[in-house]
Amino acid sequence: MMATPLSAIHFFTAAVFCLIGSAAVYLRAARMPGTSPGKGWRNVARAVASLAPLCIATGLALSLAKRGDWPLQTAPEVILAATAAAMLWHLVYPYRGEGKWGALFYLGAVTLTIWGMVRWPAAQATPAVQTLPPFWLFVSRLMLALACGAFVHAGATDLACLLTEKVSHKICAEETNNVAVSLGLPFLSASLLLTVTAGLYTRGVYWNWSIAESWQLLAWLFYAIIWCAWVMLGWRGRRIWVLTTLGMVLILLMLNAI
Amino acid sequence: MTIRARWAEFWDSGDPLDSLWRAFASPYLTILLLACLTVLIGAGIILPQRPTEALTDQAANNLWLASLRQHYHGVADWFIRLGLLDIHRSLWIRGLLGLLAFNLLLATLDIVQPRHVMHAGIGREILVHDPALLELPERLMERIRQVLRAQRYRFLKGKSNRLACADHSWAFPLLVYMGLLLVIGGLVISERTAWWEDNVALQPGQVRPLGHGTNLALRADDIEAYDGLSNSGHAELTFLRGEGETAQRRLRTHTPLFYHGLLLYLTSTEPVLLVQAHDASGQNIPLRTPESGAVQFMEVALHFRAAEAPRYIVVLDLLPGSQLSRQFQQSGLERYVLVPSRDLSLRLLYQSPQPGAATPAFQVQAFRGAETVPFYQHQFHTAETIEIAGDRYLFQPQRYALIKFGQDNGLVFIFVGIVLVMLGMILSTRHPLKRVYLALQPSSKAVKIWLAANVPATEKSPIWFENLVQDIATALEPNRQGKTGKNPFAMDKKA
Repeated sequence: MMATPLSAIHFFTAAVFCLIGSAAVYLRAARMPGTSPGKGWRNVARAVASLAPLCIATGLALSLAKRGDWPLQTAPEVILAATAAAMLWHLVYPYRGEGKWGALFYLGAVTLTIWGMVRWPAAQATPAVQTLPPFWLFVSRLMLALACGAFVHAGATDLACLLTEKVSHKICAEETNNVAVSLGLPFLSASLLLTVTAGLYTRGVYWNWSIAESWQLLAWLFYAIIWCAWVMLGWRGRRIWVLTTLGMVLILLMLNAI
Repeated sequence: MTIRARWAEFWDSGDPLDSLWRAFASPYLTILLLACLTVLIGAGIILPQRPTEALTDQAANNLWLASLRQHYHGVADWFIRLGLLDIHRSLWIRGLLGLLAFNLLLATLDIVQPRHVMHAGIGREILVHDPALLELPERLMERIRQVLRAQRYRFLKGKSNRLACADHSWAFPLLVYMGLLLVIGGLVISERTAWWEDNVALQPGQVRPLGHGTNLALRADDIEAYDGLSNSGHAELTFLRGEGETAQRRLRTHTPLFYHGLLLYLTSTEPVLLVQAHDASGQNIPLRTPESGAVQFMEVALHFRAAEAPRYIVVLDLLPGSQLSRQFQQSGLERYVLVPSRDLSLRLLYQSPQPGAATPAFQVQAFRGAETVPFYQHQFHTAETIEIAGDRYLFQPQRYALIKFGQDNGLVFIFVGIVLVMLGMILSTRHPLKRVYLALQPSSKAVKIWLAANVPATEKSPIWFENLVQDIATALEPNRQGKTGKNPFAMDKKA
């Protein structure tokens, strides 16, 4: 009997299992008694979770090798790259709050990965219509994926804070809001700038009002509101949590429209 | 806090102009305008938007509107009246962008010189009892200035000697505001001054004046086809001014050319067939095409352009994001030449080069009168003279360059603006704007120093503000505190 060669889907499935495993370990740690429960378990959860972006990146690389083209050409690839980026941001700026709601992020990442996997075969069968040279498209989409990752990470963490409403979460929530505004928004701006440049470079039209462009602009405007509230008005806490959670929903809709 | 309470915070009945300035420069208004723009762009995504084809063709527009009414019934007329079907070109967007520009301009001025800002926000009081400082409030202000300058705050005196403002990291939000202003300014300049000439066909050796006061002309010397696999398509261009040549440039597909503030694009290269007819004695036979009507020519140039056929049937699709699809009545890859004096018509078909082949193929079919079956047909790849019904027809395949060129001075502003916005956002989030307002209220026994931060009173007092208040308090009377061991300052939390 011949062994089936590993495909991208196998690696994405492995990423889903890693994320579910992390969520389970995290929930186990949250249920442990004590004021600072299961720090060791949380590190285990993080270690398992760190395998997920690796699996996704390997899956995307396999697909790239098979196709012989720049990655991130189709919507599922961007969704999966955004999930990997969210995981990376989560590892760099971990959720330090208490309680079971911290597992929300892992569950969100699982949902995103499965969503990307469900759309994967159809997107691979019908290649994307090329409107930009692949390199421009790749860099632009990479920026977009990094931005979306930051927004999803901040949104999920703030949703956890909203659900638990604990003062101890404020510091870590401020940190993740900082990620959303200081990293996500510039990455999204860079993606917009590249889209504008590429459009001008290839078509002589810098803005087309296509659905993908409109969604990007809408998301940018929404996060510009958060920037204004954060920097100019000094808003912190509940109001910002609500806004970033709403922002996460917008980002998911945007990813669906790419 | 309610909207009325927020408004009361801005409004000072003693100085309505100042109050209006505050309201229009407020970050709350910036948020409101950005939210309105977000909603409008969201509506542009959800609602069907009138496609460009419908804007330029009345028949297509009528069909599109009829379909819209069928789909949305009575609501469709409301959409039309409210301009929601052309949101991206509507007054809504322009009005909101204009208001946003005004708001950003006032806010920028307020950041540079915050004269109109009210002392709202989280407040703290320091009571100073030192007799030396009681007599000279200016000296007290100078002490505070020194403390703030030591912490790299910018110190700005207010309308009187007893009012002041200090801020830190003010340049970063300023970058964002200026960037946004540049983007909006660039959009306005683009709309008002930019011009573009699209689908300009240039045959080898043809000179085309660029117009628009540029005093330049363009000549295409050599045109290479784009094979669809690599960026091999190009056109060698010569720029002419008066009689002399000013420059020679190569214009490639997917790569714009910048020359004297002009942007040039090679949209594509299109195959063209030049047709001439001669009788047996060598005299020219007049020709015409269906597009030229009754006008006859000694030579006709047939352009084969699949995407640009003049007549189409509109296929309606109102799904968000989908565009009008068109079915061509006449394929762009077939053209007709009429020979009225011989009651003949020639049908010419273009066939794209096969993979690996360099040249395209043309097929000529000749029809007599109203016959539908050709009495003659022939295929050729290069220039060829063919005899049809006793006359000689010369067919010369050529390749024209389709060029788009224009000038858009707003682009520079837009690009610089976006870069400034990005920089400002990164820096301002790492170092948020810290602004402190100071007011001195001397009395016979003590001077009350009132400090307020640019944080809403509903928020928790930030650590930097608490530390700053403590530093000022300590700096004003350090000795007395050291001697008595008792804090001489009354810190009253107003938040």
